[in-house]
Amino acid sequence: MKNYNNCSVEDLVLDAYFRKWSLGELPSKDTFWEKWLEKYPEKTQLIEDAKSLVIALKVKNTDMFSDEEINDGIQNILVETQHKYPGLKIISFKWLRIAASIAIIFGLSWWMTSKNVLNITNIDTISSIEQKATHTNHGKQSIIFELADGSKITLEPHSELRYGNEFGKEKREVFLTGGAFFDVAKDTQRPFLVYTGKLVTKVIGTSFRIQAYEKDNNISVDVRSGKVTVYRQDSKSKNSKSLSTEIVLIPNQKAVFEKEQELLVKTLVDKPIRLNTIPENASLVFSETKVSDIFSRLEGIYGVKIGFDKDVFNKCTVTASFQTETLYEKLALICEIIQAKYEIVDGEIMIYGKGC
Amino acid sequence: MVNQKVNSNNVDDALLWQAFKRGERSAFETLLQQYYPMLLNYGVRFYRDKEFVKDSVHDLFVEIWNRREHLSDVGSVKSYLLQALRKNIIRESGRLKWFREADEISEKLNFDVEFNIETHFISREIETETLQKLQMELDKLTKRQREAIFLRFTQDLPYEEIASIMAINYRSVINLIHEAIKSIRQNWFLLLLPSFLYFS
Repeated sequence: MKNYNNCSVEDLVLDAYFRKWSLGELPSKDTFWEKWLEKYPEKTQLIEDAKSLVIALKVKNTDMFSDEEINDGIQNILVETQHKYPGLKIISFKWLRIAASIAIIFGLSWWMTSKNVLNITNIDTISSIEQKATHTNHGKQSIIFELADGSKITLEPHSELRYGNEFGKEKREVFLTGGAFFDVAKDTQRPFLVYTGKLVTKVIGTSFRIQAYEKDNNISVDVRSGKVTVYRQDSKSKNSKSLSTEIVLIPNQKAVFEKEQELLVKTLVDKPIRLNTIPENASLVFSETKVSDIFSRLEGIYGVKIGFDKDVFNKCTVTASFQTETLYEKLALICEIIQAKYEIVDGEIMIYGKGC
Repeated sequence: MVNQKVNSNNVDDALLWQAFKRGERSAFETLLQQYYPMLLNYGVRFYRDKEFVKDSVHDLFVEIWNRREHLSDVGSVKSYLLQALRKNIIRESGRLKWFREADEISEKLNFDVEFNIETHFISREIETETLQKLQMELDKLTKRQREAIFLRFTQDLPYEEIASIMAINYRSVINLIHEAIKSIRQNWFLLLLPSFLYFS
């Protein structure tokens, strides 16, 4: 064993064995350091100091990236590297991302009839539609086009949007493989339906984002504006309407459909945006402000409900100024100040804590 | 890397790397699961722009996938990726206009670290003020000292690997870390002195 008798604090801090002991990473039967201290009690202060420094030097891991962001990032890399064209990049326009309006949907039945590429059941739910138009994007950039009803579609690379002759007559039905951004023209008489496997997204006039990668376990629908109805379509039941689970989404809410379990859950988008005309970077300044006032202010800005126990947080005040932080960053900071935690439950935010 | 002890981790890493080079998707996915979050965490310390960092890490993985057949064997996948990301970030930020005038780009890039003072606070019951002063002392370290400390103490990398990641020599890494610890220690214990007297 190394001789530690003449070690300085610095030496100890750099010593791997000492560091492990300080951080509690040594097996419990390894009592070298305890024994060493018994033998040299005059070193107690030195050891204590070095130990404190080791603990303090553990640099904090940032929690800037949510699990969801990490998963999305990994999926994007996998998607981009899976096709045959090397170096091709899935277009991720910043404005598109900010608008959060990319929809990625599968058009299932079309493939069966025209290309027999995919072998997926679940055709019987989709009314037989004669193929009228197919937009395919094999290029490197998103393409933008307008449908007969005035809805704007931004189709991502490796994506395909199809619709039938009947489009626009009574309903507006589209099927999509890959990714697209929908800005749907308002028409209360003819709802706009997007088919994504077992999930149907129904809107009247709105913008939203759907992600339904074939390889993902989930299909998700993010709402940017307007109101969106999402429901599961059960292929096995004739009485599908009554069995389908329906969720109504408002802006900044998101539906996640877990394909295997067929669970449909309501949550919030990864990056809620300000809904009113306040610019994204306008500063919000609070000085000794009651936390309940701050929450209702944020509710107004993001259109997201924030639930909390008014009695518990009655005495909490917060002094802070916000600028470009996301809603979640703001909440994290406020929660740190008032010693609370937040959770997203059913498309709403819940604050938990013991109060001040 | 040469002198590094062969542990199971390294063996797994080497096998994983081989499989990845053969084009096995599952190996690539494992690499992503294992290193993607860590690389984001490293990158964001240079550049507090999440989207920029995400793009950089994204491009790095796409690049190594496309070039997988031409990549050489690496001793440590972790430090290979850290090094590659660091290079890309420095190069990319050089393209951003507000960095154009800088002679030495890497000198312009910051390196943010926040030390784990809360843990210490709890275990020692030191006043918040003292700790705030301490964080200020920690912030006085140079960027390179902060980066070296991060790689050594948070990423647990050996000196040789830190040297190759930071593109400096072995001796410089040791000096960086030594000096950083020395300066923290001196200021730290000066600050702690009154509270020790108080508590004892």
